[in-house]
Amino acid sequence: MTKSGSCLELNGVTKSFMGVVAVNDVTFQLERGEILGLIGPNGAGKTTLFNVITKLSSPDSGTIRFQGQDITQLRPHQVNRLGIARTFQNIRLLDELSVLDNVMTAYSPRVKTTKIGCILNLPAYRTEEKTLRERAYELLEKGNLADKAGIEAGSLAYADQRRLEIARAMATGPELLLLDEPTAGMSATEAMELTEYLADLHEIGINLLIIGHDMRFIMGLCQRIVVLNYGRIIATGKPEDIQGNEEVIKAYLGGSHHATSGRA
Amino acid sequence: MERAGNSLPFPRSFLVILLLLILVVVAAQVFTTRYSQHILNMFGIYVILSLGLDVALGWTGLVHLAPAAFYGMGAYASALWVLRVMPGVWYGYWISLPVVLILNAALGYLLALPALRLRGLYFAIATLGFGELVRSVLVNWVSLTGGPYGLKGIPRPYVGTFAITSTSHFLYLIFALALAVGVVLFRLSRGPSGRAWMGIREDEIAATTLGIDVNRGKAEALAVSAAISGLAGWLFAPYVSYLSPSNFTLDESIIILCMVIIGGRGTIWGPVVGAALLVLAPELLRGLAQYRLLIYGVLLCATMVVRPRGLLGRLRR
Ligand SMILES: Nc1ncnc2c1ncn2[C@@H]1O[C@H](COP(=O)(O)OP(=O)(O)OP(=O)(O)O)[C@@H](O)[C@H]1O
Ligand SMILES: [Mg+2]
Repeated sequence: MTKSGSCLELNGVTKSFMGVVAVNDVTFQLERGEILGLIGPNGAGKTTLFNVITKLSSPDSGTIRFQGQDITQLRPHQVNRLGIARTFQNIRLLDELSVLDNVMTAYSPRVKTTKIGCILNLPAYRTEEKTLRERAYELLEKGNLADKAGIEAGSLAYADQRRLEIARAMATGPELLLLDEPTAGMSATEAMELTEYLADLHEIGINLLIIGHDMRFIMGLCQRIVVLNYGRIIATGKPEDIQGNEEVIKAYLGGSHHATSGRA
Repeated sequence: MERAGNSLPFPRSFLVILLLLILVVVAAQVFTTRYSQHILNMFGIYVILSLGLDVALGWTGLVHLAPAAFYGMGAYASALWVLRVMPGVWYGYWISLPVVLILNAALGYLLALPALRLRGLYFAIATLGFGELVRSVLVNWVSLTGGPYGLKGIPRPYVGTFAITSTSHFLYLIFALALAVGVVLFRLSRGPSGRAWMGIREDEIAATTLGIDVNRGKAEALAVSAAISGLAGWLFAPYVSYLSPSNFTLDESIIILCMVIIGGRGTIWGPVVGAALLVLAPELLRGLAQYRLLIYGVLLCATMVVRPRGLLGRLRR
């Protein structure tokens, strides 16, 4: 572990798909205790950057450090176990499982009791399950989902699905949470509630990296913003600086699409 | 489990187990002919087989097309152990049980290692290949397996000096183990392993970002599935006392697959109902015995149209 105060540190990260350079030489840091926003026009490479950080896809070059540790070569489940959790732009719930089981599944790689303990229904196993179920209910409570614990996740309303995905990510006990367009498809009120919820997470020490299209949401929540365009960082700074930045305005106007249409 | 509405002084699952045990005893008294008891016994063996397949197919979403290969390995391993390794020792058969379970689990895990690099259809084809491999070993390794003529004279198991010979003795043994498998799987399905496997089935990518080692989860599920299939073989060998490679062909795998899909994937009771249906259907339609596979095909198609998630699978979408 280095002494560096950064939570997440990207250095010259590049990722291309058959000629399209989706992420181009990206370098930035997310400091401890920070809420960092990541914005940019459609196709700017934001989601690709999340995929690279969580190792769902491997960068062509560059390094990624999490709390001083090089995670560039790790597999996605190992990245999560170190403390990075995420949500998806196109929502990936375990549709046929119940809302409660979606959260419980996130505990499964972290349980202490063995399969034998489970099969024999030993007291230690039952105690652990009970504790986990209580913790899962707490998370659902915070996401206003407790009354829907028993229904299939796939049948939830859109905004509920988004909140469940965050609750599930939180169940993995992350120190860094990556949220890909968390307010997409939400009403203004729902987005407001979510902002408060995320601010609460920040209060308890969770670092946040948030992709967003909704400027008011991002500007209101983030302390610092990184702007991507054609895979490159074109600006970094405080929300008020970004708002007035000419290159950013040009990128957004030139990009022609303000639409929040989503892609994986 | 402490759920609302359970005012019993013990977990409700005890009650279910007790009722099932009583059901087995009653069935053994009601069905007294050798023939009807044999049908029951085959039903019990298929319950174990389809429950075992369901762990891979229904829980984890692995299109595993070679349950019969693991069934056959269990049967041959059990028979060879008793005939060659510990002949004439009454407890030889019982010692072969952990041997079969460990051997099958290990081979299931090993099959997973190369096969898991393959997705979907390609994984299915790899398991088909494995099934064919096992079958051709059974046919061609004549000195060990007796080749196409099979293994004859597999002795009946003993408990001390008591021989388990009659179909009704086997009925108790088979159903005791089928019940045990059901209980073990019920527990696993409610616990962390079951959740991880079902998470993998629902969405591998989501599962991996939750910290679940997807490859390891699949390998474990395949190992558990293979061990249970092996258990069915371990029971089958002394019961029929004669094994031939033709018992463990692709046809057999397809039948087990039909039971799981028709009954309902990813449910404990679904495979049981599927096994009951597919064991009984050919008996009820005895005149059509040569159309057995055809009947299964029709039942399968009808299920897919009317209840795509199987008879006990939930409706919706
Ligand atoms: N798996 C892939 N294969 C090929 N090209 C890809 C792949 N993933 C992304 N791309 C391309 O990389 C570029 C960046 O896409 P990405 O999804 O990261 O953008 P984004 O900033 O998340 O956009 P949006 O705001 O629409 O979500 C796009 O040109 C896209 O077509
Ligand atoms: Mg995106």
